[in-house]
Amino acid sequence: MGAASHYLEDEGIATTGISLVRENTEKMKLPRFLWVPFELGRPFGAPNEPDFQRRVLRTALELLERADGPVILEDFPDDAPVCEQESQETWSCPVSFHSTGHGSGLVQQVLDEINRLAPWHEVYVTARGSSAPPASGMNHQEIVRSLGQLAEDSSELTVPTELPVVEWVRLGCDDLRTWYTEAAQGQPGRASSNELSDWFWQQTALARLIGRAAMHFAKSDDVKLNRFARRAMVPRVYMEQLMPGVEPYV
Amino acid sequence: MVRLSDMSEVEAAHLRAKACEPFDTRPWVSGPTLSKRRVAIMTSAGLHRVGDPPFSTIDLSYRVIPSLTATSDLTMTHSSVHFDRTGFREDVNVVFPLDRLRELESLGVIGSVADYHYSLMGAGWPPDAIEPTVRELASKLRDDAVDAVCLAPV
Repeated sequence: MGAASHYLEDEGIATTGISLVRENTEKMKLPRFLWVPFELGRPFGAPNEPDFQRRVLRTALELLERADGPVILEDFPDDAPVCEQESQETWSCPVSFHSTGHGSGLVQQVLDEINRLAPWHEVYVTARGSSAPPASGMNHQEIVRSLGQLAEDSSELTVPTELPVVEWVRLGCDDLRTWYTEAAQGQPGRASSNELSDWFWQQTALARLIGRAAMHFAKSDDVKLNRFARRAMVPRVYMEQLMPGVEPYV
Repeated sequence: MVRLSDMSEVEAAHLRAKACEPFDTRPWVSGPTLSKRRVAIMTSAGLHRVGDPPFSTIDLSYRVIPSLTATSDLTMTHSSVHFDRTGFREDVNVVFPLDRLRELESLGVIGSVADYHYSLMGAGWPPDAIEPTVRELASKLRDDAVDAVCLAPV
């Protein structure tokens, strides 16, 4: 958002903002930013903490009262609150996938995995009242089978969508990952974001399938596909495990 | 608690390598006291209303979020897999604090909430590529009498 602040001020509109990576905001020398020591993806601290969120927002807005520009970078003093249940317990997924689909192909393992998680997803939806809306326009089975064809380097790729391959893969993987995470959150206990991420990327057959499809793209001479695989399919911290030998795109 | 020094080396190296050159000029706009400001939020989280088209993998377009939008009607199609989304799924305000901004209006901390807020998808492009989009949005913000924008990354 650093560049946006520069162009808006240049257009005569005052800005303030949140910085998640202090070193980068400092280098750009921007009008008013509040650095916060929060996890990426949570610029206002923690979910369901309205008082804390309001304090972060108000602190950022109050930078608009300052007259000592043109470069202000303040530090928010407090870490984000941690849910007591998250901090006291170590979460583990009660659904064991180790015996799932023994001897079967990876696509079948993922489909079995989805069946085993489905009751927990129903629990999640009952408790929360809704599920995140899918964006790919494909159902789970279609996404999984299409990813399987990609992973197997199939020459007979048939995908029930008109979206470009990069877009259906990205949106389809997002739909599935979101659904899995919701199913995990339907289970007993309260998982932290790191626990949910480690569970998904280190323990599920779906993550292995995404990794294999990404490996297929990473071998491509198509620059767009190659960069997409190395940048946007598997988090960098899990690439060594799921995409061995492939360097992240920087 | 996350700082670059707390991250995995591969993640920290990626963030350090991002293009962050300072601009040649340093524009700075002052204005009325905060309690008289009309405030909009601009996010780079790839948010949009459920019925709007999703963002593509590298996308310099924007989506409009009318102020009366229920935060439960927002979804995220950001192309990065490198940040937490579970917080957003629990509470949109941890990314896009529209409810909190309304509360600050009720408390008299700000003058008013803008009628429209804006969402970008901040991944895959260098910082200066967003200039035409932001200059277009500046015009729309002026039409809405906005004199302060809160920028929210993800």
